[in-house]
Amino acid sequence: MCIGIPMQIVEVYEDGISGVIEAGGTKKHCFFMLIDNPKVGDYVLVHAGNAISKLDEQEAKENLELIEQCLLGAKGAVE
Amino acid sequence: MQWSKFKDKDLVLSLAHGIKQKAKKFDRLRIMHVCGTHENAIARYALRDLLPNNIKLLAGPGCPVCVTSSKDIDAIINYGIKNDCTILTFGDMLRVKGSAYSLLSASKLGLYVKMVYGLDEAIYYAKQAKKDAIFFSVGFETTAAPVASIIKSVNLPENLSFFSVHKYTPNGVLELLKAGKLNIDALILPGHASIVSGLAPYEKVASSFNLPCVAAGFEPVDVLGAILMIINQLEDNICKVENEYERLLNYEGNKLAQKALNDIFDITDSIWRGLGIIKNSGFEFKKTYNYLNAKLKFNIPFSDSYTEEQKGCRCAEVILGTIEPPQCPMYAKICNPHNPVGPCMVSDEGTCRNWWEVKGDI
Ligand code: SF4
Ligand code: SF4
Repeated sequence: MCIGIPMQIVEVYEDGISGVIEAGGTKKHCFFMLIDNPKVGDYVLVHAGNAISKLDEQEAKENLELIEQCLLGAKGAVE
Repeated sequence: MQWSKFKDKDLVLSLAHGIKQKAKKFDRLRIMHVCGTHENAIARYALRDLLPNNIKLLAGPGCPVCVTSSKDIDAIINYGIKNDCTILTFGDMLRVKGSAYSLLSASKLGLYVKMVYGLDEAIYYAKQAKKDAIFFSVGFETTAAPVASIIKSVNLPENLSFFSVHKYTPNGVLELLKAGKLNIDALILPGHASIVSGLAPYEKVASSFNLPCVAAGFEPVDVLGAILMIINQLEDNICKVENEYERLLNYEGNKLAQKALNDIFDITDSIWRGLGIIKNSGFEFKKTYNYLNAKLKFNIPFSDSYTEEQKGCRCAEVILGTIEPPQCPMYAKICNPHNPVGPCMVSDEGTCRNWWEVKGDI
């Protein structure tokens, strides 16, 4: 029931609450009622035909940094 | 940004190494996740094989298909047949057995069912149908919120009503812990359901039950990272709620989704398969939306006699993490994805199904 891959918005219809998303060449209809300000080019997480969150590049970077920090702690403990 | 970084082999291996080193201090750690997609990632990337023997990764009640009660499946079949209406629902739901029939096998009895990918498709079919249609609305808050937001913003055809068996994860987990049904040391929180609920509802879980709680994404780096964060907490004697999935999930959750849920649904008691009625763990339509509620519209009494488990099936124990799938005598012998005996073998998010996909009939 869940699609966990990021998909990219390729079209926002005039109503502002729906449009088209794409991943790996597959296009799908999608509702945008649950995210603020959907724009073409945004990456979103899609669930049951609705975008439920935007995927943020900067935060993805910080996400990795967080993990690497934990790891440093672990290495510290090892050495 | 390279999302593939979250699958990076070197990073995965060093995380696994870090976990191994740090876990030496502990006799045994039982870490439970409550999301079917986590089980899917853990099985697909064989993450259990990377962990030391003293860390047990358990799958909890994280698949919405598995926790849908036979009572509700029997009822929806009953509604469909008695009212001669079409039942619309997600594909995973079609093959899960109620007491005797699944939605699919009930077509022998004259039930008309149609698989849809989402509510928008259900609306499309209802518009074309001449008779009444009921959307069997299944899933945790991740699915309930989209359903609520569509109900609020789209014109619904008059012949469409809803049978909600939506469930609310945080309260489900909390009540199971209160009842002493989960024997665990830490929790990995569902990445996607938490996008909607936020992490605040889990504060009570962490503080009242001394459980480190870390929300995680679905790549191998996410899951191992979360395990390491949990171990770090245990080492420092802290039990708090942390977020490993910052790229998609924030502590407050999705406010628009929470508002849509509050506008359409009330939180009510809900029956979970094999686990009985769990307090405040379901979403039911608010009174203002009674006209959409199939349970009221068709007024068919629920049967009180229903069978949650086929003889020999041990799904309830699998769902609570007390046994692993191969410990069920049916596993791979009689029960497999082609002939699922219990719900855990049906959906992609079911624990038995995930084990079978990777390990087959070991
Ligand atoms: S709905 Fe989301 S949180 Fe629930 S099982 Fe699926 S992916 Fe996990
Ligand atoms: S193997 Fe089949 S019968 Fe046994 S617990 Fe899993 S789903 Fe139920």
